[in-house]
Amino acid sequence: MATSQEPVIVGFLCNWCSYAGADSAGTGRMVQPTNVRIIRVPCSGRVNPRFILRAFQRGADGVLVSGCHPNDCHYSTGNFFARRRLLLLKRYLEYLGIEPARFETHWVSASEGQKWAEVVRSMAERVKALGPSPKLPSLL
Amino acid sequence: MAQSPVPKATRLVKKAGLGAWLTALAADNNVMAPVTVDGKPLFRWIGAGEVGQLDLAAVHTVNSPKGGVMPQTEPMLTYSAVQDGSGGKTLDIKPAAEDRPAVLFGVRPCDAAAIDLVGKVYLTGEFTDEQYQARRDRTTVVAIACAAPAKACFCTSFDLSPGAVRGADVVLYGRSGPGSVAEGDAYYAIAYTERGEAFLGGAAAKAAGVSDLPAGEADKLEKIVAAFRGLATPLGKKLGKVDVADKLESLFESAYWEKVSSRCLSCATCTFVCPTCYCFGVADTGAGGQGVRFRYWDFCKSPQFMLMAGGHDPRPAKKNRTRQRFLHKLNYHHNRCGEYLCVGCGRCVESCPVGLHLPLVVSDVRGLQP
Amino acid sequence: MPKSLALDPKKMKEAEAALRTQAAKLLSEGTVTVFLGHEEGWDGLPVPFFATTPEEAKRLVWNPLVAFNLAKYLLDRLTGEEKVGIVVNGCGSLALDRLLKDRRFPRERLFVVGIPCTGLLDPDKVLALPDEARQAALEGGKAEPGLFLKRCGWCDAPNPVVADVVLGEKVPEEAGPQQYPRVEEIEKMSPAERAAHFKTLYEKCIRCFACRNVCPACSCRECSLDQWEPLWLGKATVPSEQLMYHFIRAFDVAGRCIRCGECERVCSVGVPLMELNDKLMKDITELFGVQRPHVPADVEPLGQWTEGDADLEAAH
Repeated sequence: MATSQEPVIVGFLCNWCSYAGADSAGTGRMVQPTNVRIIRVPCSGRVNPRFILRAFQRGADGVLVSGCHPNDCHYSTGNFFARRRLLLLKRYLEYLGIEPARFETHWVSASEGQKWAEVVRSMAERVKALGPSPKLPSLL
Repeated sequence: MAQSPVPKATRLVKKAGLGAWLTALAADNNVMAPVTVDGKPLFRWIGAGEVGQLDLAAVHTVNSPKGGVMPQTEPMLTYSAVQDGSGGKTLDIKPAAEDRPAVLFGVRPCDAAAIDLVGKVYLTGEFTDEQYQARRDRTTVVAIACAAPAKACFCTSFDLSPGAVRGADVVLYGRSGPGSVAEGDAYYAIAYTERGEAFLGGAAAKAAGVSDLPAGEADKLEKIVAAFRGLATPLGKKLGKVDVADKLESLFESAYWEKVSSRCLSCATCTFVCPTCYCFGVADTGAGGQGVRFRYWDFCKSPQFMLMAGGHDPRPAKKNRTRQRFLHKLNYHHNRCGEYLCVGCGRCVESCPVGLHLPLVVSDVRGLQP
Repeated sequence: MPKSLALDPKKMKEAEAALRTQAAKLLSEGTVTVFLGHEEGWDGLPVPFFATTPEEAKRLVWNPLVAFNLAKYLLDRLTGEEKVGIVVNGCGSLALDRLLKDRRFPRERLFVVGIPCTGLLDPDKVLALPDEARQAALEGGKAEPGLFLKRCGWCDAPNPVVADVVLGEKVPEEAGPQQYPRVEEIEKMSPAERAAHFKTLYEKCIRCFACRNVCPACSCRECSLDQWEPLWLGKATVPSEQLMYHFIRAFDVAGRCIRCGECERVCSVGVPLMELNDKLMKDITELFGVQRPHVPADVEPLGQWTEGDADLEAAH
């Protein structure tokens, strides 16, 4: 996956806000880089930290989690729990030797197509500057 | 006791020459040797650059060198989906790539014997494990006799000794004899197999300055080798010969298993450090139309080990699993192969976090009423 | 070093006698059907022990080597109505409290005998000592700080936090912020250095799961790491899976780890597992203001949130 110069970013997007936000960026024909491979999840609170490490191990150069703004969660509090967990995770990944810029979390609502395009653009730029993410050996 | 093994070649190697030997070997072989990592002696594959870490002082590495012939993770085949020419796809299956020849260096006699012991399981009977056979065929075992057996050693409780030869192609005996940890300034290197003979005559051995025995030293050598073979082991002395196979026949339903297993953690420490535990599982890993099938060490103390797809578990409790592990070693294997599945290395004694190990079970079983 | 580390074998000997009497009484009166403690093992080191009769209770020991955390064994006794007795010191009670707060064992089925702790010694280190030094440590209480269990060095809870009966007097507690010097060292490394550092460690791991199995915070009915479908953790012991294992092991107990360090102590190959657990604890204090992250709380730090938690987007 990381053979091309273009970095691969895996994006975990919540169904209710960010996925719709990305959709509205598309229907609004906003120009955005094509680096993000989107995985739709019910809520940012659904994102288990191990998804993120696994994404890196399977070839992602960056991982993005995006959910509803605080207080806008479809399930009321899912993103608050996610916020705590991901704050901790960000430091943990950095500690394990994954450059902090490779993992980002954003709040993008269904109407924020513009913000989504900007999130993708700026993150792709940062990850591209870092180069391919180093991989640990696996059997594959 | 088996009859005395017959040497095929006898040489002398200076302790100072071992590094050069390993370096020369590493050029064409995968070399496994005991090294100390952060204070823990471990058997590891070492590259030419790590030869300096060689540490023959510790009698017991935490792990055994069994990974040299039974890697903890061993690819068996690779598969990939390819176009079959008529618009469909077919599976292209290739056997795993063969490794380079291997040298297991500085193996203790118990561990060398374990390789032979376990080899019988893989290589005799109705089926032969070809992959294991191939690995064994390209492996040379260079053992080193133990000058000072450790507190937990009990190889002498079986037909073994700190100077035993079983399973080894070459055995190094400290020239100054047993009793000193420094193991003298040189080793007698004695080949007991044709492979060992060729090994001692090889280019790598020359690079290490492996030389002929000085004239008139044959008598001394014989005495020293005999001294190694006559050496007692601390735990072996306490335990005596292991003799519980028959008694265990009637103890399957004993309440003892429930009692002794209650403190078991169900971890794999005993199994994975044991040189004679050989069970494995097989799994696939793959993505994007290609993958690898591999085998990996499995352990009978795991609640998942016997779990069936339908949810039934023939060994549902720690009692069943603990009983299985010890009966396998002390009874089932003895019934099948005429010997215990243990070489008395003492690693379970040293490593079990809750002190639940084979010598304990042996001595407990002796006291049990059938 | 905490003041409570005034290793006092004499006091422990007294506690041992009281413990035997107490356990025998509980067993003979039928208050409990089994009592979890330690007995002297094969090589003189205490091993976990389950006394079922007043006679067996005489085999219970309490000395500077009773390092083993017993609470986890309660999970073997989840079914049934029997009442279980257990002896705990300070950290042992934290482990017990962990299981209670995680609602993994009913409090009413427990009878807890607490013993205030004056510090414990590392059994492996003590066993390696020459006879005289060993005796001085075990009987005279003369022990260098390096001989103590690692967890004693940061202990701020020597007195049992859960107990039905306490044997012996309370020992002075020393509250203060927890220190994480090793984590701070690792944090100073570059990302590449850190990646290399952890890779070396995980290459040592033999995946025996002793660290998980001994952990009082790892108490799920079925561990996800044992599941085949989905296969969270590959069976291959290759570096990527090794990292995945240790990543999950530490993160899944983040906010619930009691810092007992049993994982590290039972590791036969010496993987410094607490480097990960400590990092998470340190960050939980820094990010969420939890001053004693190792002490079980009614709601764990990751099981709650506030509107004022740091802004995630600003963290980039």
